[in-house]
Amino acid sequence: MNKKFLTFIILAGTLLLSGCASRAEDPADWPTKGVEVKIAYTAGGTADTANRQLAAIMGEDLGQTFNLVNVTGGSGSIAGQQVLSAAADGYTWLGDVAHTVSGFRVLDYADMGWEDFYGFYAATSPYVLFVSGNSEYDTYDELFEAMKADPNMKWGNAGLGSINQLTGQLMVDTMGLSGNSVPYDGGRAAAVKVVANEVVWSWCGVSDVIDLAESGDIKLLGVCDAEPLTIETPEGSYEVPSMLDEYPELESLQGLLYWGFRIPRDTPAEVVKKIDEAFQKAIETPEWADFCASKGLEPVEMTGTESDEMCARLESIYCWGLYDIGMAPKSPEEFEIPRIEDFEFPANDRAAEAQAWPE
Amino acid sequence: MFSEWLYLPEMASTFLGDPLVWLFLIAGVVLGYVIGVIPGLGPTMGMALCLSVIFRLEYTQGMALLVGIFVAACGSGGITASLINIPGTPAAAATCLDGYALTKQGRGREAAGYSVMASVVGTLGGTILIFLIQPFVTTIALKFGDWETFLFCLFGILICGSIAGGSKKKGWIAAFVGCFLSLVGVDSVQSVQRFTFGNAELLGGFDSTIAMLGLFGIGEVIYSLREPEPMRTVANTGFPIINVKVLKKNIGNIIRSVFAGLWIGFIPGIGESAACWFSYDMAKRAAKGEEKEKFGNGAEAGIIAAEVADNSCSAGALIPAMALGIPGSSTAAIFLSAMYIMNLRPGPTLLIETPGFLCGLCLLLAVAAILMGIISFVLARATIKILSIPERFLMPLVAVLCAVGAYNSTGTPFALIQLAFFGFLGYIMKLRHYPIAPFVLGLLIGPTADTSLRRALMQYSDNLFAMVGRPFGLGLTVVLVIFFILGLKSDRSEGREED
Repeated sequence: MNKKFLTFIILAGTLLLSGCASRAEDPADWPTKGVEVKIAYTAGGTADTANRQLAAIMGEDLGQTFNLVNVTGGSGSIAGQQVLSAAADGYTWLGDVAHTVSGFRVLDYADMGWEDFYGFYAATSPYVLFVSGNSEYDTYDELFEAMKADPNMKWGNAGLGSINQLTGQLMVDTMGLSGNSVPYDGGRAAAVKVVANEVVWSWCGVSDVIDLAESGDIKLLGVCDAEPLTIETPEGSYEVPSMLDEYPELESLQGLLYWGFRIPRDTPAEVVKKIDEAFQKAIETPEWADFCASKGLEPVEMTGTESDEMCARLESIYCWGLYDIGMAPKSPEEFEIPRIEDFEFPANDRAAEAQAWPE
Repeated sequence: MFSEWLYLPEMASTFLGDPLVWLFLIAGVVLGYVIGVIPGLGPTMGMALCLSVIFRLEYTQGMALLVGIFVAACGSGGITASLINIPGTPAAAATCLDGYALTKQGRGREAAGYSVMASVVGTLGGTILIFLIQPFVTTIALKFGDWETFLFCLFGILICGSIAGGSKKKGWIAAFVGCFLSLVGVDSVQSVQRFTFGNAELLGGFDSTIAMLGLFGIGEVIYSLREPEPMRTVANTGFPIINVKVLKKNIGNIIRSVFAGLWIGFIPGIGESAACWFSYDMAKRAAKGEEKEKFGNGAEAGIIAAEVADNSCSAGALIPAMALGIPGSSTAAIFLSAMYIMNLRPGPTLLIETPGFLCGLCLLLAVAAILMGIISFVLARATIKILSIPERFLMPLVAVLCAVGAYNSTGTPFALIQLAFFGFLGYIMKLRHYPIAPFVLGLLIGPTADTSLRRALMQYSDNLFAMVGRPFGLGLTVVLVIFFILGLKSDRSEGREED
């Protein structure tokens, strides 16, 4: 019996070690083994589930099993560093949200940015403004009026320094309003506190709360997208109006949430092309469409220069947002990151000199 | 809402009529048992391993596999805790106190027996209760605001002195150090770096699983090096033993522990790792005379209280997590993630889209609990034998297992440095007779206490009276004050006896 136990230990050890071993191989052969995706967020969130679904589809197509691990901590910088320090052979990806790596420099967590990766993003989701299902407010104008009357009205955000909080604050500022913002552990947790009437309203990507809206637990008052949203509830369906019609100044908050993965930019071009191919195929599958539909996500294909530009725009909003609320010890100016008002692509030398996407 | 109860017969045939469901359930239980027994490999890791498989399965089969692992891994951690004083899972830490004491008296088979039996009863009790109160669970869970969560954490801090056994002062000191170390890292309210000294590895803070492996495991390994020929009472090998008389005496204890575990399961962020301590303390307080003396020196009631609560809590925490779609613990998080993969959508629409789901889940939990009882009973014989090997062979193995488990928690080499740090700390604490239990409790509830209090203060920055006056919280405050006064009183009378 002891022998069996020892054998188990040796097996476990070997398995662990085999994960670390890497041999140089011809990029043309990729993939000869499974890919490891390091997800920078906890299990269960959109970044996690979207990557797991993508990995399942792409793994089947490529004939390899993907291994997904959640490496949280340091706002994702630990996962980012693990991916960048691994061999750039196409076998280690970073599963994240498009803005994830952009804050590390100003936060003084790690010296990396979006230019160190190629970003493949497969789904997006617009921001929505919502209140509890039994709230007295039925339109965003009613809520804004009430916020004017009570400058200390409580609203829940997804965590101080999170992209949801920063864009929510940007929305409040743009509208010339104010409020008492309470940070929670993610957009979903904030939404549950809205349902519990701990805070009056909140703001996050619709995919985080779509089921709470469909069950009638929360009421969506407005969507930060050109198109209105239709929500089906047990009591019937209702239309969530676009806030951009009445407040075009909120346009810069449109199209900021993208989920997918990144690979190091020094990955061989041949491998990048293969990953791109598999990615294109995956997002066109009905499985991906079904997944997106059930999560309130919109399938997109965000790669190439378009992806770079989106990441750069996010970098401007995110870094300056962090700096303005006093969370970033270093100024974005130090890294030549312009404010979103002055944004032009490429915004700085780093962006201009980044390795182009393989043709 | 209430209709979920009516799905019981239909779900029984859907789930239990499929032989493949049984197959996956049994496979899950066996896998879960092995994972739970090995220190550092807990239910979270076991279920995470399965995520890459389950998207190919029917949801009933996938759930069976997950529930099997979940129940068995939560339940079997107590066996390792009892036999070698190293909790197989963090939730089994309280089982160490009396389980290991019993093993040292040569009664390892009994310790394993009570641990397994209590796990089965805890899971069953928790499941049945949660099934009955399921329509109200969401409402109850929503009542827990940040202020109430903080009050619960205060309860935890209050019991730190008494779970120590021995010097109360040393208990408080250990708890304080634990709380303090839990604050290292980027704080979750304002994202400020605390005590990281510019070290990027510390941004995520210390990992509680690694801390536990270090404190209990490596600490014990270093300690055993002190003796040239380590003395170890080898437990008689054989099947676990359960004494029916002891069981009868503990019926009240079991019922209390089921409720305590379940209740704590509702509070996000506290979870099963802390539930066992609450319940252990309650059992200790309820015990009288000779029984009370036995706590810490091999009380059956201590093992039972800890294991029943930790398992009923695990079952209890799942339901609000599913109903609200926010995980309260890492095990619940993996569960939710797996559900998304199987195209189920946890949250308030779950019961509309998949009617009968909760009913099926409760059935699986109950059946898994019974299967775990049988399988653990059979496998425990081999486990007892393995874990009874002489210390000079066992300790190196323990060191390797702890290292593997630690590396598994974060996947970074820094995990091993943390492990060494906590191992050394555990050794020093043992040497100086500081109890490890309050330290662990401090480490576990420190972050929750910190975040919930600060969030509550932010929310009520303009009106603190409104915070204190929240009806549910007010009730808790009253209980807390009574508890505190009673504690002081019993301390005084104990003090007199000591004089």
